[in-house]
Amino acid sequence: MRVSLNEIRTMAGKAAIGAGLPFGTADEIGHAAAWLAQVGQDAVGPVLVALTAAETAPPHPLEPSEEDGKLDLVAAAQVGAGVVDLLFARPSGQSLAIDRVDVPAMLIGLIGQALARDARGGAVTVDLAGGDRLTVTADCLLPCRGLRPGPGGVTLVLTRGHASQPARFPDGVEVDPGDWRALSALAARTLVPADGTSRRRGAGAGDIDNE
Amino acid sequence: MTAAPAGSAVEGTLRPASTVMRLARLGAFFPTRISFLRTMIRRLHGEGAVVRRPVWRIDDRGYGVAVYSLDFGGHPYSLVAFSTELATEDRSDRVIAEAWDTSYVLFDGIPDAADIDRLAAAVPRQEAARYTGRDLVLSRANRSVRLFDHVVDALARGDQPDRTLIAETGYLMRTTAVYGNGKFGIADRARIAGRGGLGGPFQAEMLAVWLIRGFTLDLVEHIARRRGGAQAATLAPGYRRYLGIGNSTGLGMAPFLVNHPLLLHNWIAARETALARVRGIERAAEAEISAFLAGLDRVRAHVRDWRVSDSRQMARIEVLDVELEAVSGWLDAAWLSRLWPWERLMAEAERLSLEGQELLVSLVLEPHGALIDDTADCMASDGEPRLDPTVTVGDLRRALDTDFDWALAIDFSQPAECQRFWYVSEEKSEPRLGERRLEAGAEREMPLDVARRVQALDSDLDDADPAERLVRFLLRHPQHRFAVGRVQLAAGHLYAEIRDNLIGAGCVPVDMLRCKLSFFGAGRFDPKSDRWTRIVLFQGAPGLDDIATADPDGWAFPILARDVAGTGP
Repeated sequence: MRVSLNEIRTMAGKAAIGAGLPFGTADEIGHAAAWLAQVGQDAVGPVLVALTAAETAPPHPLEPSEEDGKLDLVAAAQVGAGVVDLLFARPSGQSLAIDRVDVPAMLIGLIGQALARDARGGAVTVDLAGGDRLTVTADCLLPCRGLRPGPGGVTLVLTRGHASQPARFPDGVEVDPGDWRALSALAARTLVPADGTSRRRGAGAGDIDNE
Repeated sequence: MTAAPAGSAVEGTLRPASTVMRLARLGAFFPTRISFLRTMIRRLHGEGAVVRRPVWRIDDRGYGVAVYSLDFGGHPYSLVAFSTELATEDRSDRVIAEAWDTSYVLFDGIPDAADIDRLAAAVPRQEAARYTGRDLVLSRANRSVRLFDHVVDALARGDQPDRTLIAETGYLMRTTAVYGNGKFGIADRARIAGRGGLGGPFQAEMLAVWLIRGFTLDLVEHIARRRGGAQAATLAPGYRRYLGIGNSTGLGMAPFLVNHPLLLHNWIAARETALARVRGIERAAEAEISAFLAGLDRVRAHVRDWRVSDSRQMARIEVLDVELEAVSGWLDAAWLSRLWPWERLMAEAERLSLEGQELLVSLVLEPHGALIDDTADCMASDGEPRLDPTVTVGDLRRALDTDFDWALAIDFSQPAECQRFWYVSEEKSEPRLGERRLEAGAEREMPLDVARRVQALDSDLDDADPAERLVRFLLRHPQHRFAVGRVQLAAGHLYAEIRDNLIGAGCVPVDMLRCKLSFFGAGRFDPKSDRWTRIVLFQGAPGLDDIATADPDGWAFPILARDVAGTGP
């Protein structure tokens, strides 16, 4: 099915709340999903895997050693925004190495959306276990091919000063209907059953309006 | 005329956020000449827009499809309108309705037969269908049955409709939703954000509603003509001008202003900058004095005609009526000819009610288009920037203390201060407002409790080392990421926050609706409770047939001409 990028952002953000993540974190996950879609990646699948992992895994707070720039384990949905904070707080050109990220695509989405919303500009190189190197900017992911699923180690380097180009914006993207339903189910946990109380307190027009 | 140059030396005269951003004042706002529909009408007029009607397949009873097309900002757009039979018992203004008298899409381009077929299968179903990137806005509207039928009957007989009924209602149809920005698969705003015509906030939505207004006028005359034959009349020009589009708006609109703090800042900052520029005029020109005084007379008549059933609003209108009469008693051309006329007038206005003060803001802006209209170009936003994790806890603390003193002053240990909670209902995912102690669902509360969240952040900052970097603090306290973002944004955007407790017992949600609707350009604010309201859009505005020739700005605060054969209110 085809969905707009705003639908992806909104649904992913709500799903993150539904998975129990704080509002600020959920907002970044929503932006990350939309960024992944914008650069031609699967936006829904990685978010769904990351949120599912966040639900089932115990909280694993980051305890970074800022001096040596190393992290051991990262659950991308839970602490990915914090990893981006750490990366952005490091001097330009210094690496941040992570032994294992549960959903690297989720982390890459969080990096991309952060660059897109940061006026200072910059690019992040992502060295994946196995030798692949990606470059993330505000508006693209190079090389432009599908991200491999599955956990792995990554090393991140932010270089400031990279000027981004005006973003290409797709007219919506195709998503897997099953994944979308699953994401919607998580988002639905934020909804409150309707019981008519709000109406009795004066909300909303009449049930029939034939004035 | 001398004035503070646009964009300079006005910062010091901007009204402070502690004054402007109180909910009660926001809930007293009136439309201004930089409201979105006013801006759009000026642009359409400036381009000499020509609206065509390439498709009109409407039957004798008024059912079928019509297409209106125009070029705007170098792009062609079309309103595709569907009119369908609706059972009386199904006609509801509630957003959860499932059928409507009419339904619409603003289409990017000129639709071909296949496009119209696709839209015919989808648009009457509204939220139940899916759309494409060429569909920019989705909307629907129901007839104001009382007026619509009356107008058809009168015109079919060859008569004009009853003036009182026209004045009381003010529209033939009212929209119950106008969706943009990617809803249900329609185009993301980014598709049109860079376009000259539709780049500003809600311009696509305003264009759709303006075209819908034209359709409703054509439709009522079409049905009357089919029924009355040769004896049928057309609507008098004064009525065509006066009739706008109604709208019912409820709590669904309320969270928008909280969820888009940068956009809110941009809207308010544009309005306040415009006001500051006018206040900076040392000596007013005769033409502007005359235009202002004419506007004052006009608005007095407008207010006298403004009658609502809501007792709170009606009491405010009555006070406003008295205040305007008093102002008119001492304000004249000689008074305005002395130095700093608008600054002195706004100082005098501080004695008035909030409605009186804010109405005068709209009025003093009105004659100064050349000075202030460019402020409307700064009202869009591409979204909030991400928080800056590189600052220290001490930096954040100073920003919080500076910009959120109002939030820290609220005593949330008092039950009344957290009496309510905002949530999203399962019913069409619509925002609602619940009573915390009486209703279930508070554990799924939306974060409209900004003040309370900032207080919680403040409490944890107490235990942090001021020299610690924010990145470290957030690793320990990820639950504060939302509040940190609000504090950092407010530091550079003084109008980003509504400075009131939105979960307190004293919160009046309809004030949030009125603020947003005033920026749309809505008039005839007609609250039906503290949670929903009716309004009218484009009342008095140039129509599809005279947009290129009519005065694009001479219709603020419309009044219905006594002579219905007149050319405008």
